[in-house]
Amino acid sequence: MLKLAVPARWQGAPWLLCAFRPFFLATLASAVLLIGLWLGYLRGLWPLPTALGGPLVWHAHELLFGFGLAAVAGFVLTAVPEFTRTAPVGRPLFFWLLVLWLLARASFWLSGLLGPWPAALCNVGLALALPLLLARRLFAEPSRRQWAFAAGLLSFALTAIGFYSDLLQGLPPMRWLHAGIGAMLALVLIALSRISMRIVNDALEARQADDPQDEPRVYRALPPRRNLAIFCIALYTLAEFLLPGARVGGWLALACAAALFNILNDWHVGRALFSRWALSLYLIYWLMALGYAALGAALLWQALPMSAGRHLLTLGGMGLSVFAVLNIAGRTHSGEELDPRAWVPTSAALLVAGALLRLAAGLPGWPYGTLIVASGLAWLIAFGLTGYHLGAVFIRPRRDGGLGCEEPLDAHGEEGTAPRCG
Amino acid sequence: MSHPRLEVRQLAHSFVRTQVLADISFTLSAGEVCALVGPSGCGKTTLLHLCNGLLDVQDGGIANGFANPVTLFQQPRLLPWKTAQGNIALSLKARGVPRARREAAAIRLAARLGLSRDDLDKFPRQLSGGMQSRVALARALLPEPDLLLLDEPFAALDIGLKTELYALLQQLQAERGMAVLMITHDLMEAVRLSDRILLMAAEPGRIVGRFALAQPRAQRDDAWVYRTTAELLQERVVRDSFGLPDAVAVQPAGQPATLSVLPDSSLDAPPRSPSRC
Amino acid sequence: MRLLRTLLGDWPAYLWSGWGALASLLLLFAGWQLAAEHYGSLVLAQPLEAFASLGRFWAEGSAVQELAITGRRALSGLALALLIGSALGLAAGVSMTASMMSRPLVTVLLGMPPIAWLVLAMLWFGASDGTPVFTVFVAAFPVVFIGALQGTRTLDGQLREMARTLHLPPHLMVLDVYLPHLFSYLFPAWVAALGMSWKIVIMAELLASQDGVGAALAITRSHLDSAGTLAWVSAVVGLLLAIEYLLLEPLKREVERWREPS
Repeated sequence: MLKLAVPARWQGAPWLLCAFRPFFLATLASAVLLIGLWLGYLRGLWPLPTALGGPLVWHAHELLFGFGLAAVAGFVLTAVPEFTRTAPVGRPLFFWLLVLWLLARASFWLSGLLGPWPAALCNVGLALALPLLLARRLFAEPSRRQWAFAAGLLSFALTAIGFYSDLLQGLPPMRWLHAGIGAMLALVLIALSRISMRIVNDALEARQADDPQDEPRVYRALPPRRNLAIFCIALYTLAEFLLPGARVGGWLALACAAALFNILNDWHVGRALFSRWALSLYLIYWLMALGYAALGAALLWQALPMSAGRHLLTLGGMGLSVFAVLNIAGRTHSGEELDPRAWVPTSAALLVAGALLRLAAGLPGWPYGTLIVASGLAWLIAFGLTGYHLGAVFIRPRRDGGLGCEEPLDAHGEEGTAPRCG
Repeated sequence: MSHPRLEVRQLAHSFVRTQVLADISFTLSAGEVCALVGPSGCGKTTLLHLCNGLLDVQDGGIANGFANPVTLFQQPRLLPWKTAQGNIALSLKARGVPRARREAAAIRLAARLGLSRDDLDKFPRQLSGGMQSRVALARALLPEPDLLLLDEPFAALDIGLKTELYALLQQLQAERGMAVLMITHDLMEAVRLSDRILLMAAEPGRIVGRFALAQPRAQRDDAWVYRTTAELLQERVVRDSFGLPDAVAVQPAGQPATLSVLPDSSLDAPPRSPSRC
Repeated sequence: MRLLRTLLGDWPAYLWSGWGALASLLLLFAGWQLAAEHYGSLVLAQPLEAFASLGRFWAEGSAVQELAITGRRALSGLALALLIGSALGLAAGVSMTASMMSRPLVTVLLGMPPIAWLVLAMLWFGASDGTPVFTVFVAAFPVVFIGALQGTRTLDGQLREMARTLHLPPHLMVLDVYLPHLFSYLFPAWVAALGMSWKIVIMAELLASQDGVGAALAITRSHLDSAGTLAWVSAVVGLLLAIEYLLLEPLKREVERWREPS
């Protein structure tokens, strides 16, 4: 039996205290690096690594399986043990998963030289490892089996398998990356429902404390509306995969938009919505809904290019939710309160602006090149700020004396009683 | 109308061929609290419905000198489509009191009965059983009745709520000098609340015992209530009426009796016809 | 007044809740699109083609005109059914004898296919407005009648007793005790009748009229104009959905607020 261990020089290193730390650091680094390289390539400053499939595939693959999967891995490896009340993921395990992630990056970037097999093994291995390693925890309690998470992670792994199977056969693999976006967004919806329960109810409580006259309200992320949206997204993803460019997909994309707006019925809880985190999470749904609406308009009326809607989903919906997860889960499990400083709303606003600029770039008659760069710069600044402020939290020891993933400890070294966030 | 009375004389009642009441006679004066006690099915509710006019008198007579009688039923019987406030004010609306006045009065009384403004805006379905009972009580008391007919209105509530509501009722009764005729099968409740207990037996429903409780209602503590109830339970006629086996315990010695058995001419009268059910 | 205020106040939240319904409709359109592509536009026009046809009808003015005619007929028949059905249903509910007697009759009316009534109506009224109006009336009548009958029969005796001991005067007895209860039975019956009246008026027009949406459908059918046919169908269904969700449902929510448990 292979016994995993963390190399001696990093035993007890702060950045390895908890699974999310190295993976969120990887997320931040790749956010800046991938878009920086991409913008430079678009402006003709430098070439991209010689990956199979060409530059566009590299861009999409890396943002999905590099940036996106790092965030997902950090989140699920930390949150799943927490809300299934199982023991935290062992340090050696997530350390070697991180090594696998790095190998996956390197092998794909060099896939032009190494061929597809190393990249396939590393990327598929990592994507499959997450659901397989967490399966026991997700199904630990018969009464609360986490089907949604398991299904989301598995379908994401499936898109990785499909991508490499196409690549190995010499087929254009882009359709699998589009499907991967669908799987990623479904995972975002599942994760958001847990995070939002805490964030919105905290905001409601704060509002209540400010103004006791207000009628007490409770926010609940009830499953039916979320499930309808996930169902629509699954159908759209399937249609796009099987019948790319067909009008059926257009109607399904519009259905996704309506179903996402429908989720917001749960969210209209009054002025508490205008607190920074509640609003940020709320805007994720808006960006995703607008993205699908734009895809629908593109497929039904050719009103704008598909990429405009696609980037509202990825740059907007995915980017903002990764930003939110890093801030909320990352700080909470580092034993810190949420960051009250102004860079947080600034970065969130930049991501929203970036998504809208990318949409505008697709509108006929708008300056495409300039808007693309502006949009990319907004992303770079947003994640640059996040890396600077939040990265510091992930590489330093906990200030409350905690030694793992616990939520903030009080003076007696005990976990607070606040509701848990997944 | 200095001293209104409710007089029931030789009342009898049957449903088709089943006699439910036979030869009931009693009077109730202003300010008096009288409890009708008896086992389930002894015709207590029928008697009450004869008194409040929901049933027509067949035989015998009821002379009701009270100007303003009100009934509180076993169930709250609230109009589900009216808010608590609307339900309470209904009793004044029936009397043509203008809206502003009746609503103000409803809010005032409801506050005394522990209903907040928030509760008043709710519909009955949104209120708990205890709250619904409060609303029903408020509706009954709002027109300041001089006679209150109670048909075990709080029987379904837990003991804490029941005690609280009876205390409220007693307070208001003392302030206003209402006459109260209450039906109950709970002896202890009767002992705690009433001046006089009329014991009924079934098949057909008739009065088989009358007891007076001399202790002022305000001075009855738990110990007194337990002792008196125990005493009452020693009475042969009480045990017979409820179908209890013969008593084995002896009268607690050395304690003054708290209960006096009243003479009654109709007490020994045999039932007129045997019941068939 | 309070009703109006809450209606206006809840309006944005209510409208927003329509996204869920819209999502289901869009899924339906996707299915329609798939079927249309599979069978070809001659058999089943695509949604966008149908909507384009509808847009053309709208621009020509025929959409408004035909819908108005159809609406007038449906609403006349419906109004008759509501008035007469409610009144007779109430009357029958009050008397045990009358309700016993009327039940089998209503079963017969309900069981009679509307198309049979249509044939009779064509004999009696010819090509006039009378045919669709009568058919709508006779189909919607038993639904309303049953609602009114059941509402009257299920009046709660306990509440009536309570009201009597409070000496509620007769007019308040009707306003506060009888009508609110009846309304909770009548309203759903009225809504069901409205839905029926739309369907039946079009069937009647298709077979027996020279104008109205039904007649327009007959024309598009004879031209094998699948897009036009679906355009009319969408217009009618859309109008019905709008009435149902923008008018009746909010109204129902408000007047039946007391039914919600907390």
